[in-house]
Amino acid sequence: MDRLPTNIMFDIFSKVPAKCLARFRCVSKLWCDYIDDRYLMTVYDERVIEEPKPILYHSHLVSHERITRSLCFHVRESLQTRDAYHTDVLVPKEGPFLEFLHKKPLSKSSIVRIKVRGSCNGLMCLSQDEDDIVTTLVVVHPLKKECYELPPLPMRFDSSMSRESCGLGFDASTNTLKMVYVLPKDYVPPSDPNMLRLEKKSSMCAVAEVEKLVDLPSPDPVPIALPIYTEFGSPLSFYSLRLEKKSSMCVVAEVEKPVDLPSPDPVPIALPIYTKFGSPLSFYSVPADRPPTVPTPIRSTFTNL
Amino acid sequence: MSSSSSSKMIELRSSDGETFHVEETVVLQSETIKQMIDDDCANAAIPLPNVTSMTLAKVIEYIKKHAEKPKDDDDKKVAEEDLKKFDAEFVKVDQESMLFDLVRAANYLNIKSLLDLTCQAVADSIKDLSVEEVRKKFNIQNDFTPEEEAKVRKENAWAFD
Repeated sequence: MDRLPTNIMFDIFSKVPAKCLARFRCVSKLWCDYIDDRYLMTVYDERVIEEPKPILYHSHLVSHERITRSLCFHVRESLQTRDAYHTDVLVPKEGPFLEFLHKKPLSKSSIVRIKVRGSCNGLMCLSQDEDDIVTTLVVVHPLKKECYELPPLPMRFDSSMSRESCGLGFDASTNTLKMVYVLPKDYVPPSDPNMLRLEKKSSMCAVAEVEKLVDLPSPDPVPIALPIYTEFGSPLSFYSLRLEKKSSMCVVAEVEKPVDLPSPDPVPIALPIYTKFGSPLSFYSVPADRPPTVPTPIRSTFTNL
Repeated sequence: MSSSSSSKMIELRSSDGETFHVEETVVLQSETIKQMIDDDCANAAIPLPNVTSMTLAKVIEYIKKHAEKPKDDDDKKVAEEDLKKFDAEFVKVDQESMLFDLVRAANYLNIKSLLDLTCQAVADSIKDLSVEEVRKKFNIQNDFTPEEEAKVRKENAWAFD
C-alpha cells in the first residue's frame, strides 16, 4: 500500500487513544517521528478538549456477605450511535480497568470507606479508612494501573472532624509529588497506642518514614469554597478555606521517589474530580462548585516512578 | 450563480476514464471542485486522475446522501438519525484498501466530513491492533534495530498490557 499523506496520518493519529499512540511508537521510525511530532500534540489536545473522555471512579460492592468495597476505574465514552434525544450519553467503554481493593476489614462490624483524597497530574491519592482510622493510603496511577502505597498516617483520621483536609500536589522546589495532610493546630488526637500524639504547639508534625519535613509558610487566607484546594507553587503553598493562619498544621508525605515531572500550572483541586487523559497524559480537576467545563490541560510526561 | 443551479450537472471523469454526472449543488461539498467551478474551470468534464471509478462512485453515493435536505424539524431529527446510520454502514467496506482509497479521495477532493468519517474508521480499525498487526496492515517495514525497538518499547511499557 502506498503511504498515506502526512496530513492524513496526523488526522488518523489524532483520533487514536493516547495509549495506542504510545504503543505505535515502535511500529517504525517514521511512525515514531509522527507520534512525537509537536503538531500531533496540538491537534490531539484540541480534539481531547472537544471530546472529553472522562475516567469514572466509583465505589463498588463486590461481596454480598460482607461489606467489601473496592474502588473501580472505568473509561467512559460518549456513545457512538447516540439516540436523537440523548446526545451526551456516556456509557462504560468496558469493564473496570483498575480496581483498588482495600485490605481485609479489621472486624465484621468495621465500616470501611474508600475516599479520594487528592489528585495531581493524573495521579490520585486514595485512602481507605476503617472506623475513622486510615489503614491504607495509596497513590494510584490509573493509566499505568499501578498503586504506590504511602507510609501510614499515624494519627486519627476522624471523619467527624471537618477541618482536616488533605490533598496531593506537585512541589516544584523538590520536583516531587507530595501528599499533604492538614490539621488544625490545636487538635490533639486521643491517646491510642496506634497513634502518634501530636505536639500541641507544633506547627508541623512528623510522620513515620517521611524524611523531609516542610515548614509551610502560612498561607494567606484565600477565599475558596469547600472542601479543599491544594496548590503548589514555588516553593510550596497550601490553601484551604477552613484553615486559618493560627490553626494550620500540616504533614507532608512525599510520594515515592522524585518524579521527573515538569512543573504543572497550579490547578485548584476539589472533589469531584474529572480525569482525562490526552497526549501523552493530561489531567483535569474541576471544583465541585463550578460547572464541569473543561479547564486548561496540564501536560506532563511521566517517567518511571 | 442562478438559483436554479440544482438542475445544473457537473461531469466528473475518474482515473480510469469513466464519467459521472452529478448535480452541482451536490458536488459543491468538495472544496476542490467548488474551487474549480468558482474559477470557471468546470465547463468540460473535470478529470480526477487520483480517483478510480469504484472509489468515485462511493464518494458520489456519500455526497448525494449528505446533500439531502430535511423538509421540517420533525423530519430533521429522523434525517439526522438516518444519516448516522448511513455513515456507519458506509465505512463498512469489504476491502481494506477501499477505506484507504476513500481517505485519499476525501483528502484530494477536500470533503471534510468524509475525511473525518474515514479517518475515524481507520483509527477505530487500528486502535486495538498490536504493533505487528499495524505493520502488516499498513505494509510497514520495521526499520528499528532490535536494540532500538526494545528501548522504545521500554519507554512505553505501560501501553503494552
